[in-house]
Amino acid sequence: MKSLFNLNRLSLKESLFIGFCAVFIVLLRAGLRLHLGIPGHSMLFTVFFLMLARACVPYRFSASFTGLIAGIMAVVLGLGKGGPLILLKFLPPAIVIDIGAMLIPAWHNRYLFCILIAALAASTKFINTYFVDYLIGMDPTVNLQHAFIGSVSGTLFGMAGSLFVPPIMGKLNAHGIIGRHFGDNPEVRRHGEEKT
Amino acid sequence: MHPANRKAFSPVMASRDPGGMPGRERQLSAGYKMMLCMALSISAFVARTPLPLLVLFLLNAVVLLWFRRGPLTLKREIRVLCWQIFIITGLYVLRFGFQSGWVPGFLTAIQLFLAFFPGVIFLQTTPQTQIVMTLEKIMPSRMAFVLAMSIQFMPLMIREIRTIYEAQVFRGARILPSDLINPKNWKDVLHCLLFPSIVQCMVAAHDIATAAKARDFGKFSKRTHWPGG
Repeated sequence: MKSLFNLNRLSLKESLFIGFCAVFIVLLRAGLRLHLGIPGHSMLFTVFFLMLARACVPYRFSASFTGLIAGIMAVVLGLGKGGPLILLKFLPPAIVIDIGAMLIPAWHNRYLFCILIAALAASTKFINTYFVDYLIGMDPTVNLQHAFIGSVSGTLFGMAGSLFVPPIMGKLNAHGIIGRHFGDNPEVRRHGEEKT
Repeated sequence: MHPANRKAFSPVMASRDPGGMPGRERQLSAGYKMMLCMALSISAFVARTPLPLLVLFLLNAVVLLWFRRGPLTLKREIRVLCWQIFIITGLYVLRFGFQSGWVPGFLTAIQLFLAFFPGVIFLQTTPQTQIVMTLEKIMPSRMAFVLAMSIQFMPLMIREIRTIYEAQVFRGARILPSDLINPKNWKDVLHCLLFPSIVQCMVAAHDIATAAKARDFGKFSKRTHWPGG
């Protein structure tokens, strides 16, 4: 179990890049205050940066690590609605992205796979909203409606956010930027990379 | 975080860490504050009738006054409360009708607010440095370091992105808010702002990691601090 979650597999600069992805999630989620008045719009950047972290850093739990850091940061900085339950907004989609990335190795190059993983990841907003409202003791029907409204728009925004991943990854790979910055960790090898 | 950087970041962050009344912060450490606020937050899930909710509301007010280190701005929280009351009470009224729906809807909205509000109290009344030092005690040192560095370099990243944004606008990129109304210009955000910002992040991560390694980061299992050993 320890080796499964071993953070030493991440180099320090990879960890810091993950930290910066988390910074972007938190800043764009609440710092820039997208007052669109539409529930779930924050999923656009949350899903994009979680997927970007997973695509750039060859560590199987990098999205979860990003989600965890973003959640703790949101708690620390008091962004969003606050409270320890804000972690639930970041972790479930991150875990889904990690699982999706494990099942589909070259997902970040294909729009279809990105949309599919993003849809599944963003739909976890339903579970999060339903769980919190259930703990409050909200009426089940109202709870379902409340969670459904948030999750449908969240899923649409998440899918839109995932559309940015293939062009960004394509550009980063074309210029050899990922290899230049994250290519010196001998323990891990990116999918399709040849042994030297 | 350097005070100048804190001011440069944003009024949101600056308001989280007001500088006044240094004596009061010694009353309770960040760890105890965190535990007390979490207990209050959990209590909101248990209290479901008007009287316990009223008691909890008053307790929150007392804790807020006790922890307060300077002027507080609760405008955003009050706006959240109003919006929540409107949405949840509306859904209850639609489901049960006005007569039997508005009271439970209103109470649920208040309950939901009281579950989130203690977190706001904690964050508005505790300096970030204290929070990070507390987190270092309860999480792996690598994660705490990444978290601390991410928060510390947040103002730098914002400055870098602002510089990229301004440079690209001067070069003619259609990324001004008025340009973004047209979806055809969204790809400019991707290529002119998002991509260089990500590369800038990678460069910053590389530089910070090199600087940390030069200071023997990771050599000892327990992270040392300067000053203070």
